[in-house]
Amino acid sequence: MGTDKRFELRMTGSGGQGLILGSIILAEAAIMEGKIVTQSQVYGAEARGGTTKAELVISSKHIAYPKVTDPDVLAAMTDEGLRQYGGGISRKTEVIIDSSVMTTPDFLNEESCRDLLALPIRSTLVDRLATELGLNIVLLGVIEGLTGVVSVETLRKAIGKHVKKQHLDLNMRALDLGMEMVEAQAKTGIRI
Amino acid sequence: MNEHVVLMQGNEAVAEGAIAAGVRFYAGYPITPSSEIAEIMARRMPEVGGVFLQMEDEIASIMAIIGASLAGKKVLTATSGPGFSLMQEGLGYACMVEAPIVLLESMRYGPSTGMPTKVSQMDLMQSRWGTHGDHWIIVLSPASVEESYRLTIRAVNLAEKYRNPVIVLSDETISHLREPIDVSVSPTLTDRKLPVEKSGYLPYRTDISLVPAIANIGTGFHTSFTGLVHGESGFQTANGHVAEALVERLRDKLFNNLDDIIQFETDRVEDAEILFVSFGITARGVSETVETLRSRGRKAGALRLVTLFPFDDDRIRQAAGSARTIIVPELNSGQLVLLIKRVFGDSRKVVPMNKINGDLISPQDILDFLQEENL
Amino acid sequence: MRLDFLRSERLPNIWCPGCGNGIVLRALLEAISQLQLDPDKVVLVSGIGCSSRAPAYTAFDNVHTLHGRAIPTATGIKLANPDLSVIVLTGDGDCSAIGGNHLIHAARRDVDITVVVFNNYNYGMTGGQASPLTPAASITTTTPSGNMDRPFDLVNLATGAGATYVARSGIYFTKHLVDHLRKAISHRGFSLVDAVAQCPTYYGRFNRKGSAGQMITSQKDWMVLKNVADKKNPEELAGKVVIGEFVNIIGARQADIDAAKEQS
Repeated sequence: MGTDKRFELRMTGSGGQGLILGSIILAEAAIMEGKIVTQSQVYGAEARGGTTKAELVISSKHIAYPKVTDPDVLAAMTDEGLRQYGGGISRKTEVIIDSSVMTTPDFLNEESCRDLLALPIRSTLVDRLATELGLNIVLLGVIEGLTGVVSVETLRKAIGKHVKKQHLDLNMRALDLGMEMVEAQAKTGIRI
Repeated sequence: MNEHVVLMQGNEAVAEGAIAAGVRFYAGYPITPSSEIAEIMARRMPEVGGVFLQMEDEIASIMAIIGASLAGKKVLTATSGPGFSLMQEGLGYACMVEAPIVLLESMRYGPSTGMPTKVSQMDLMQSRWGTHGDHWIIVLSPASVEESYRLTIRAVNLAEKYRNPVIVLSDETISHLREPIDVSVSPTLTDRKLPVEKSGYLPYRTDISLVPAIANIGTGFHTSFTGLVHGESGFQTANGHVAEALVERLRDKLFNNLDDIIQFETDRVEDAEILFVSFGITARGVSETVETLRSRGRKAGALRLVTLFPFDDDRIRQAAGSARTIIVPELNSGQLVLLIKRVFGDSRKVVPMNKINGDLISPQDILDFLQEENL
Repeated sequence: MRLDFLRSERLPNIWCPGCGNGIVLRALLEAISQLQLDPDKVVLVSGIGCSSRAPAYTAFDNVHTLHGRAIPTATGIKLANPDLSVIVLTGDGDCSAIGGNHLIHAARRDVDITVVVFNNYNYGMTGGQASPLTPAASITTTTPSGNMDRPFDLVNLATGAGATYVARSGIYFTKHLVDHLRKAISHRGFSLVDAVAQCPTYYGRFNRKGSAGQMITSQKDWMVLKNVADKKNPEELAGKVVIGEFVNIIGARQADIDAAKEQS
């Protein structure tokens, strides 16, 4: 990240996936590296299961307008999330979708975004770590692998602040899994 | 990195700011988007030797903090529009008995129950005129998480100093926004003036400050408090002269101290040809827009009101520089703009810019507006 | 009664000739005298109405609040300074209509305050309108054909809401009233005394209850001591009002919480 660069991330999915927590963890990692952040979220009236949106702006200087206006990364974990909050992207936006639970959106193409990265996030998590928890951490791994917005060490430290000791190892593996998915995908060069 | 810098949510900053300011009594009723403040206080008050009370409604909440304030505590309650409506009678009572209280209002969208999780700035005039009768009130407007912390401390200090209710008028976005803040600085605290001499004690007799030194309940001064018009003794009267003197004093105790109470921020006003006047979260989009316009060679500037009320026309006029065009963006159908128009009359072009769909005014919105309006 | 508990410079009071409020206030000051409470540590809190003017005639700290809002204000004062004896002086309308929600919740919380209800069966200050304690079929300015609603039984209301001390008395029975006020004030927890007084100006006049003196002395005809009433059957008690102590339990709230903890 350059000195003046503003990094904008939007994550969307369904309540309970931990996306808001994921954005908080990444925000704290950025703070540890001396960055300025603004983190915000939108939720519906439902306490559980509704569509959520978490946003994070990271910058090396003061952030005036606190919301995402031109995202560098849009990560959608459900079709409904993408439908509701998938607008407002541009040619600079990397779009991540979970291909194991989502249909490939027909409105995304070379014209509307920089790249579409379709990864089987949820199914890989279940196959490899035999759990459904930690989806948000796998996603952080994907974002980290894609952008390197903070150092991996800082990100691990920030995750450690939020998870119980007995779950730490699992979460670190979830983070690695996300980064590996990006790496593997980069090797095959397959992008939709 | 600075280890004192922590990521904090706006509501948490209000709670922690209040604790740093010495608040040791919180009573409230849950309401989106301020509920986190009650939840944090439920945990934090016992930790710092304070009292947390979940009351049966907002009417009871404000009365409980008034009671605790009169008994000597620094107090806070927090609410949002619908609850703020219920608190209005208590707010007027606190003005009249001169109880130092701090009330956080997080503005959500709409009349009635509106859209609880969406932002607005629709309660600006309610914060000033929500309760009946001529009364005077201090309203502060934070634009960030850090400022939520700092202004809550300031609100407690001003409430104590002037024995007056102080409202921190926040909004849904700031309440739920997370930003890094440094909480290591210990604030300067103000305590209310108390009487010394019991003989000849008149609770509402004042010196030149016009702020009475009223004893805390339970300290042997035997004070009478009433929302009825009262003289220096605190006992009710229907004497018109006493009434007039009281209402004037309630005004003057604030208006004689506007230098102390009123704060605003300016950005490149000096040579600005186009000036934005805004408050709260809207000022953040304005700030970015001013930057963009300047980078394009336009002489833009901004005035952000930190103290909303008391509102002083002269100070605004002086702060506003000589811009011919003044734009007032706000998340309502035009409330602040009424005051700005009052200040400038026909001498400047004062243009309202309003957004009432539950979203913020973004920098792009402002640029689009300028284009559409040929400004 | 200690005369220095009254602020004589503020007398005469605003009450009509024959009003029962003065007798309730005197009984309260007598109870406070008997308990030898430190006058610096007594706070009287009131709402709006005739009875709510009573605190300002006393030499204690006193807070005349808004209509119905004495109880939450008193709750704030008590929890801010638990050393204080906090006593709410309220009327039947103030406490059971506009302040009814606060009444039941303070009883539920078992806040250590005492509520003294100056019960004269109507809104006196505004001209004799019906309150939630106005008896059915009674005439008031807002029930010109007779009250079509049934009144609350304030004792049952407070009891049901969890009050840990509940008593009723009448101003004819001054010693009885003083005794129960004294017990209520010294009770640790939420206490309520329904003190039945008279409003000869409105309720009495509209309902042909006779002079103030007759209204007071008639209490001995329609009020029955609780220990006497306990031995009578319901038919014999028709049209009577039972006075005495109805609830007096210590630690009920804590016991309930402990039991709930045990179960979970």
